[in-house]
Amino acid sequence: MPLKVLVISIFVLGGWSVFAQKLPPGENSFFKKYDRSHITPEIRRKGGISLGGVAGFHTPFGNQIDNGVEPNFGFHLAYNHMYVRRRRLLMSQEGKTTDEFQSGWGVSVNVHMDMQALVYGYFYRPLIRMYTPIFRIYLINEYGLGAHYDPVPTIEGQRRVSPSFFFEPIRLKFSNTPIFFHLTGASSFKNNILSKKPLNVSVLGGFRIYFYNYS
Amino acid sequence: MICVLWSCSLWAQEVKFGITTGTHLFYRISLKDAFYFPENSFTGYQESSAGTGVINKNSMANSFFLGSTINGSYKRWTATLEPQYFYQRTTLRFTKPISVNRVFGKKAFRLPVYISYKLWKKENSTYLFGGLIFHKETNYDFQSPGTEVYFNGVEFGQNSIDYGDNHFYRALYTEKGYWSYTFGIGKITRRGVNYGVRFHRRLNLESRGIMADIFNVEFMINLNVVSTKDFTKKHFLYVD
Repeated sequence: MPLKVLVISIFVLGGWSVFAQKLPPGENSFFKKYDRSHITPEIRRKGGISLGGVAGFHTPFGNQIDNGVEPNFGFHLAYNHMYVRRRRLLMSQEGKTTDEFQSGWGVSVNVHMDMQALVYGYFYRPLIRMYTPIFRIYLINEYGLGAHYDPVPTIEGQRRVSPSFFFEPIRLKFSNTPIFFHLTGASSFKNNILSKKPLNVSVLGGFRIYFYNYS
Repeated sequence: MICVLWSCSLWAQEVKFGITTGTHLFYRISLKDAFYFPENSFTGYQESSAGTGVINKNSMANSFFLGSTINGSYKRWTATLEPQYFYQRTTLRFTKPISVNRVFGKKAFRLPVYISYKLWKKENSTYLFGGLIFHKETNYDFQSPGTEVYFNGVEFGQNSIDYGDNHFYRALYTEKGYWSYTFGIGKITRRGVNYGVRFHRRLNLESRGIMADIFNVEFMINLNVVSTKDFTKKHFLYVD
């Protein structure tokens, strides 16, 4: 590289560093990066993951051979693309705000100790929200489509992978923490509730911690 | 019914049409007798321990209903009609004298008719309601799992006999339509979602009665889709 080009380049870079205003560290641009997460001043688009624990109950819940109902523990991992609304806290005198998930979509993976897995894509939009100063309750929240993988199918005619639909009726959040406690039901598309064949359903209860850019 | 609807549409200030859905929050069947012998079976059922009754079953979220809703409102009063389809499955477990699981299921047309009263004078208020529900059911009463079912690779038929269907006719169900009375409490949210909890119990009239006592608490959600106010001419007042 000719020396002239090198010197000019160094001066130009130096000039940028001198004249750039409010430049966040690590950004070498004249302009502050435009925050594309804003949809409206209140609503922002946030992508992130959630981690958590889950206790699953899979059919058969109990029958003549085995009457015991034991939870099947596992972990939860999901990618969540959420639309977050900034809301003023109910009891706040200073006008403190909190983030509420307005709606969203994502992909959720739940793997249990006996290698049963439930993978589904979901759409999230709570129909009913109840806010209290201590905890918040959300009803009729998540609708999902996916599959239930069972390495040892227990019902005749059941395959290892059963296409299923998922529904989350209730979700609980304590104060301003990003930890949610939820209850989700899963049912195979092949279920006929009015036939002699046992049902292939699952109930998942657990907690999820959401990680996203809180700024 | 048509006359009632027509008169409702005359006095109603607003008529709304929507969809309704919900499930059982709590469902309890109790048959207090110590023994029950079906007419169409060579085996009977006995209570598992003294005093509990032959059937003593509590369930939740074991049903689903989906339908439409029509309501006409006048001041704080609202009259509602909810034609809907209803599906339910309950597993009953017996241990004496034979160990057997039986499924009691139903597919029904229901028509709740009730009147509600808003507690406060505003659009989105808590309300109390009471009325009647008409039921016309197709009942399913069979042993489950049947003999053709496998559990963990073991054929169930080797361990069990199918004792037959419809053992609880007139104990849990009849083929006749019937009415039940209902009352409850509801709330309309700011976004117009109408939800409530209702209790209902069968009017056990002599000719249509059953032996068991069935206690129902349901959660319902009504979503309004269209209102007559959507088609009226709007008048706006502009103040400079």
